[in-house]
This record gives sequence, C-alpha cells and structure tokens, in this order.
Amino acid sequence: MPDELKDWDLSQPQRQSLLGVVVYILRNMRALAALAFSFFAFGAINTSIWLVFALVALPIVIIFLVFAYYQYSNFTFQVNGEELIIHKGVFVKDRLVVEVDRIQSIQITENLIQRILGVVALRVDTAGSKGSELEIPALERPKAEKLKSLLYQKKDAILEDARVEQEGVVQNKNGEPSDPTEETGEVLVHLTILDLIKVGITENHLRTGFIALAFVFGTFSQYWEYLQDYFSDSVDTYTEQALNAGFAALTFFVIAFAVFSVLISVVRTFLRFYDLKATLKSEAVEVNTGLLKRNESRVPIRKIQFIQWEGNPLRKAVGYESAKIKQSNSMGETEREQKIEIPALKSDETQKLIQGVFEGFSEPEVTIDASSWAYARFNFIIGFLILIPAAVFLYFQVGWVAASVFLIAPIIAIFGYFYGQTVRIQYSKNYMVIRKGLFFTRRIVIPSYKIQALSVDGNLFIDRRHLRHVSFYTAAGTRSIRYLHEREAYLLRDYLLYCAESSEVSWM
Amino acid sequence: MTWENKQIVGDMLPALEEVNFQKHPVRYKRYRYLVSGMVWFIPLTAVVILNISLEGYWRFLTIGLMLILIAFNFASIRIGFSRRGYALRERDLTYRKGWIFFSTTTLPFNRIQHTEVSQGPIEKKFDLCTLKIFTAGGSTSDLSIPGLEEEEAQQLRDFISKKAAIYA
Repeated sequence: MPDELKDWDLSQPQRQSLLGVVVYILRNMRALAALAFSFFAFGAINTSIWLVFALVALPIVIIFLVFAYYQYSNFTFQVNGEELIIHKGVFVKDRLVVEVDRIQSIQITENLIQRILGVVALRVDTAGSKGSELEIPALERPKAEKLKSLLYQKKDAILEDARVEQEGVVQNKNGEPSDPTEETGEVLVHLTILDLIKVGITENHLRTGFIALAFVFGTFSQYWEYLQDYFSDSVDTYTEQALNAGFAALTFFVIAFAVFSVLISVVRTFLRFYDLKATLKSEAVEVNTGLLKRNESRVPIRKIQFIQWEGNPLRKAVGYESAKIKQSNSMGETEREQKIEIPALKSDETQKLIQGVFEGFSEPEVTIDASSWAYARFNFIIGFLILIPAAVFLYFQVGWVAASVFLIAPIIAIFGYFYGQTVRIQYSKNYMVIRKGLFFTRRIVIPSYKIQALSVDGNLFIDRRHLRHVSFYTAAGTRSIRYLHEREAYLLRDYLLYCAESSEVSWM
Repeated sequence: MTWENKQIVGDMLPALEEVNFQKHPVRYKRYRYLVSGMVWFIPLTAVVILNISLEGYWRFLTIGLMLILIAFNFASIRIGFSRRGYALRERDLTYRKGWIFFSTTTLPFNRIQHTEVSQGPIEKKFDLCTLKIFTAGGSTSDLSIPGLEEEEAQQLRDFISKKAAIYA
C-alpha cells in the first residue's frame, strides 16, 4: 500500500475504490427500498405478488448496477495547482472546482456500509451551504488521508502567506498574545427576574395575535348590529340566540388564545433567557443562558455577519431593545444553534455591543429612503384583495352595504404609507444600517465587507414607477430593502460592490 | 479629526447598468421550448384523457385553459430569453433574468466558494451547459447560468477561478 501511495499522482485524474460501485448501488437502492417495502406490506401473503415483484425488481436491479458502475467510472478527482477538481455524473455531467483556500474543513467519515467495505468518504466543506456537493464517497483510507493532508498542506501554504502579510501574530488589544479562555472580558448584560418578566410580556410574536384579535373584534363589532337586525327580522329567535352564543364563544376563544399566548411567551422567555449573561471579549461574544438547559455560546467576532436590533412600543417604554447576533453557518450546526439573541439591552449596552463587535462604528451619513407611496399602494392592493371574500360573504347577509368593507383598504394603505416613511438605508464605506418599522422597529447593521452577493430586483408593476428592491446576501442570511428609486438602488449596488471588492479584510 | 461629509457621486463608480450584457445563443431558446414542451406533455395527456368523460362546453373549457397556459409559458420563454444575459467584469459576474419578476444578481470574485459546470443529456444535444457559482451567501445567491456554449462556460469558469485566487 505505501508504495502505491507514493506513486499516486493526484495531479492526474484519479478514481475511487472499485467498491464505490457497491456504495452507489446501495444509495440508488434506498429509493427502491421504500417501494419494495410497500410491496411486501401489501402482498406478502399472495405468492403471485412475489413473482411480479421478482420480474419487475430484477431488471431494475440490473439497471441500477449498470448505472452505479457508470457513476463510479465517471467519477474522477484531482488536485491541480491550487484547485480540487471533481468530475462526476452519468446523464448530467458535472465538473466541480474548489480553490484550496476556500476549503473550510475536510471530513473523513464512514457509515456502516463503508465500514464493511473498508472504504471511507471524504467530504470537503466550503463556506457555502451545500457541503454535500463535494464528496468522494468511496476511497481507501490511506488514500483519503493522503488527499486530506495534501489539501491542508496547500491550504496552509496559502494562509501562511496571507497571514504574514496581514496581521502577524494574533494579539489582544494591549498588544499581548491572548489566550481566549483566560480573558474575562466585560459583562455586557446580566438579566434579572424582573427583566425576564418584562421581556416575556413584550415579546414580538404576540403582535400577530393581538393584531388578529383587534381585527376580528373590530370587524365583528362593526357588523354585529347589521347582523342582528337582519336576523331578528327574518329568522326565528332560536337562531339569533345560537348566533349570540356562537359569537360569545368566538370572543371567549380569541381572548383565551391571547392570554394563553402571553403565558406561553413568558414561560418560553424564562426557559430560554433565564439568568442570561452576555460577555464581550476581545475576540468573541459569549452568551450564557437557559433555565433547564444551560446554553453556553461563544461567537467569535469575526464570524458575526450582522446584528439585528428589534424593538416594540412596550419594550421602548421600559427602555429595552433586543439584539440578534447573526453568525455564519458552519457545517453540521443546525439553524437553531445559530440564533444568538440578547433580549434586553439598554441603550448604553447597545453602544458597547456595537463598538465591541464593529470596531470604529459610527452612524453612516448617506441615507436612501424607500418610497412610502409604494408601500401605501402595495398595502391598498393587498388589503383590497383580502377584503373581496369578506365583502362577498357579507353581501349575502346585508346586501350592497357590504361594499363599505372596502373602506378598510385605504386605512391599511395609510398604515403602509407611515410604515414606508420609516424604511431607509444608511451607508458608508464600512457599514450599512437598514431601518424599518412603525411600532415594531428593526435596525440591521451589516459591515459592507460581509456582503457575499447583491441583487437588484423588480417587477412590471414597480418598474413603471422606476423602483427597485435591493437584496444583500451574507453568510448568515439575506436582508433586503424594497421600493428604492432606480437610480439610488443602482448607486447603492455599485458602491457596495466597490466596497466588497476593494476590501482586503477577510470576511470571516 | 476633520469632519467630512463627502457625497457619494455616481459618476465616480463603475456603473453596472451601462455594461453590455452577453446574451444566450439562440438555440438556448429552442432548448427551453423543448424542455417546456416535454413537461407539458404529461398534464396535456391527462386533460385529453379526462376529456373523454366530459361533455360539451366543459371540454372546450379545459383544453382551452390548458392551451392558454401553454401559450403563455412559451411566450414567457421568448420574452424572458431576450432579457437574460450575463456581464463579466474584472471583479464580478452578473446575471440578469426574468421579465414579470426580474432580478440582476452580482457575485464578486473574491467571494466565490466554488464553481461547477454541468451538462444534462438534453443540454448535450444542444451543445449547451450550465455554469453554477457558489457563494457563502446561501443557495438564493448562488448563480446558475444555463444555456452557455461549452467553450464559453469553461473559459468563464477558468477566468473566474483565476480571479477568485487572486482576490482571495
């Protein structure tokens, strides 16, 4: 084996182990297995079913075998210069290329089948979300190790050069070499029980419940009088009482639901944010939280892609905002683990957080406002469309008076207008701040160099008004701002591209 | 510290809107028609079969509706085709698509994670292939440029790789 390895020239296309055919067959069969299972489930007793199954299954297995062989035979990989190149595919031929320095990690794994066959899978992860694309499913272990070390060697060679150019040795703010575990850092937030109660009651997700409640209440009370008149004239009192009871039940149900939501919210808050302690260190933000399950998260500052602040009127009244720290997704971590939230920050704590994470941050001066009228128009149209079924329903109850329901549409539009007044983006060379929200305010701070891609979108309706939407893609998610004037949107995009492309700072 | 308030003026920046977008070869349109036709085959036969049990104006209604949808789809492909294009600059790649809902997505080279050139069996008949560029920004920002000449795709991919390495 060692001699084979010495002659194993990875700069030329190489194949996997022949046992890869078996791996591929079994993978393809997984789909068939479900079908086979249902077959058995239905006709295990009837012998003729077995005959049919054999007749059908045999050619399928043969096809899969042939297909698996071609999958194996078409799969080649090589390391050419600074790139890992993989060719694969039977019907759809794929050629994948990864720059060695884009590789985040290399995993060697084996599942049961691979263990039996004596091969391993080698998976290359980049910062993108599709890690499973770059996988060599059946390689002999010594070869896999060799490939892995070769890739790491090349990667380190590049990183060494880059690091020496950029920063030298990793230091803390005092210029001394830092040890991440020893540093105590500055305590940012430490939540008390009272804080938790305030947070629980002012949770954002209640707003949908309250709005629904208000809407239902409002609509029904408006038309209750008409309904009562109608029914008392044409139908007997029994129906009227039933309706009364029904309405009362509905009201009760809605109130109960609202109260229940508040309770659930408070309980969730306690479970999740109990004794939350957020600490700001020179290289990371640490958040310790949780009642039954204590969660200790350490977010390296360079992995933070952006921070989103949220407020609502109740929270503002007690002087709080909540901050959601969005970091780049790593392979193997689920969405849940990524959500680092500090639910109650006072304004000076917010300042400390911003300055700690985004060094030298200051409010960018150039501002672009979204078109408020566009929001108003959009709301009007949506409101109108939603009201159509309501109007049709009520027409059968109260006749043409039902058309007055459409008066709600302009009201929704007015709310849209005022919401639109709050939507704006401020930007400078290093930072962007997106603001939106009337009662439920949102503020998103994104360093420009964290931008992975940009898009400017539109549709036929807003094109007439020369409006566009702009989306910012980061490794922690996408944020957008809508209804910007065409010229400002293009300018924003061109400027941010310039910032992202001319930045020499590593985005992670 | 001198207090500054520099206006950010458009003329100073390279403007993406003024760049010429490279269109797809015409046979890409035919490719789309073909694929679309193949997809419509199934619902069309289903409707035809269904029509055996229907009578009178219901028949016209269902088939008529189907034909309208197909016509709209084909018209959409045609209009969409004239809008699609990519723009290659020194530091980024942009792709524009859509006509009712349209978007122009730009990927800076220094943010590209890896690239992929793939060719399906039907694409092969048309000598076309797809260039896929992956970023760290999630699958919505990954660019997928279909309908490229084989050589064009390879050249683009090699160009991008080189640039990605330089601007790493």
